[in-house]
Formats: sequence, structure tokens, C-alpha cells
Amino acid sequence: MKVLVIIPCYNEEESIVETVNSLKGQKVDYVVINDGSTDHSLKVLKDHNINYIHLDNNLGIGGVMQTGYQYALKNHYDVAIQFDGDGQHDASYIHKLIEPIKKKEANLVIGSRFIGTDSQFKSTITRRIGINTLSFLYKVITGKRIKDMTSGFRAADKSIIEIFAFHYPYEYPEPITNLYVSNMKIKEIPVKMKKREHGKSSITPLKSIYYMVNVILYFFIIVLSRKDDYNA
Amino acid sequence: MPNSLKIFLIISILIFIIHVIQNVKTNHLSVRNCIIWLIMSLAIIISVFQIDTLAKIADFLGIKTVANLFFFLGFIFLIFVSFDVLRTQSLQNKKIIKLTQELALLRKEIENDKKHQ
Repeated sequence: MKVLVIIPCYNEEESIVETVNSLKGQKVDYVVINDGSTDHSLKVLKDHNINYIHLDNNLGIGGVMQTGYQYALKNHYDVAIQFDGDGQHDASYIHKLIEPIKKKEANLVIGSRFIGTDSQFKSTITRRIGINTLSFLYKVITGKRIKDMTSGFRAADKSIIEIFAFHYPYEYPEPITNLYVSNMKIKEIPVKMKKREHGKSSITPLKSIYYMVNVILYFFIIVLSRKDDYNA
Repeated sequence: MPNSLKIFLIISILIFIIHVIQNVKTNHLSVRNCIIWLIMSLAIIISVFQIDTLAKIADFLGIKTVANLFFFLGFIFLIFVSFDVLRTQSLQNKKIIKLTQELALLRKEIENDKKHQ
């Protein structure tokens, strides 16, 4: 089974080498997508001979991930894993993430902070309230439950790779992607997530609130306009 | 409307029209996008000579003065224009994303081919 780890990278000069090194021994291919970083990320990628794709414009996480899925599709990968470049995700969980796809139990596997006791770091209270609200909305719309709606640690099988390569909802916030493919089999497994070690999170409390309002609004827009894309 | 104001409006509009055409000539504005501004300019010039008609329209809409009608119509016009600009910008944004992705993937493919040669 050909597995590709897609690592979005925006101004991660301090952590990207460590993140890539953490994948050693996992028997997976990887590609770093440099999202028009304004720091020295590109130089770091070149100097360390890291496999990367450079985007000239900053496309945001959606545009980056779609590029990754397009790369996965072009190179005939069976599984594509989204893996943060800031060192928050633990590479030792990659094989657990792939397992349900291997067994054909799921098309999309989400690494969750809120299942089991693997993850000590479960984000701030305000963000958890937001995530729970999204989870509740998702349940109302699809009848299914995803506890960690904002998790960026996900494994997609070939059918999802194909959907995301052509129709990634990059205009929408990331949790919407789960809604987009909610007619497929989605499974959550417990994973360990760490606090970001280097760099600064771009999410301020005010941005978090704005983001939440946005996501909720997008949920309703999708429900009203694209009934084919989810199991209502 | 006093004649001095009429003359001022007409001169302003004529300068604006010349400015629009100049922008089209230097390729800073597309013909498609200039048309709406030329139509608007023409509408203002005609309105200057048709104050009575405008007064009737204002009266019909319950607007007390012609000046207020001007502001009202200008406001509606600007809303339409900004919506159109936003729509165009959204479409262009999608195209830029697609182009950026294709360029990046092609560059990667060329790099890989060079490595394998």
C-alpha cells in the first residue's frame, strides 16, 4: 500500500526539519507543501534535501491540501495523510490511522484528541466549546458523530483522494471537508497531539470566535445549497 | 438646478470620461469594465438636462428632493458595482488557486524528470 504524508508548511522554518525527521522509520513517502512562506522555510527545505512542492502564492490550508491530494492522485498513492508541519502530530500514530483503511472499515480516518486517553493536550476550553458545537451541528445534519471536527491529522483512501483532488472545498474552513464527504465511511481513532513547540499559532481568541461563526454559517450554506455532498 | 452647477457637473463628467478612455487605451481598464462607467456618466449628463423628469421620479418614490434621489440612485449603483467586483474577484481567486497549483505540480514533475535523467 503506497502511503503519502502531506505536510502543509507556512512559515515553519524552525519545526519543519524535525517534523520530516519524525517520519523516518514509518515506511511512508512524504511531501511538504510550502504555502508561499515568507520566512526561510523554502531555503530550509532545499538545504535539507526535503521532498517539497513550492506554491508561489499563499493559498491557505485548503489550497495546500488540495495540491497534496492532486500530487497523491498523480503519483497513484493509495492513502494520503494530512500531517501538520508544526510538530503537533505524532508520527507513531500513522500506522494506526491507516489500519481502518487497510481493513476497508473506513474511507477517511480522523485522529482524535477527544477519544481515549492518549492525548493529554486537548486544546483550550473556548476552542473545545467551539469544536463541540461543530460536532453537534454535524450530528444534526448527518446523523453521524465526529468528536474532533477540527483535527488536521487525517488519513484518506483512494476514493477520498480523488474527490479532494478535484473538488476540495478550499473556500470553506477545514471542518467543512468532513461534511463534504460525510456520505463516505468516516472513523475516528484516538491519537496523541502535542502543543506547538515552535513558531506562533495564527489563531487569536478573536479570530477563533470569527472562525466559529464562519464555520457555522458555512455549515448552513452547504446544507442549503449542496444536498448531494452529504447524507442528510 | 443652477447653471453654474450644471456646467460644473458636465465638465467633471467629461474629465471623468476622458480619464476612463485613457485607462482603456493604456490597458489599465478593460473595455468590458469601462462600459458601465461610461453609461453612468452619460446618465448623469442626461439627468442634468432632465431635472423635471427627475423631480417627478423623486416625487413618485416619495423622495423629497432631486439631490436625495441622486444620492439614492448613486448608492444603488455602487452596491451593484461592488457586488460585481466581488463576484469577479471570487472567480479570479479560483483561477489563481488553480494556476498556482498546476504550476507547482508541473515544476515538481520537471524537477523529478531531471533527477531521473
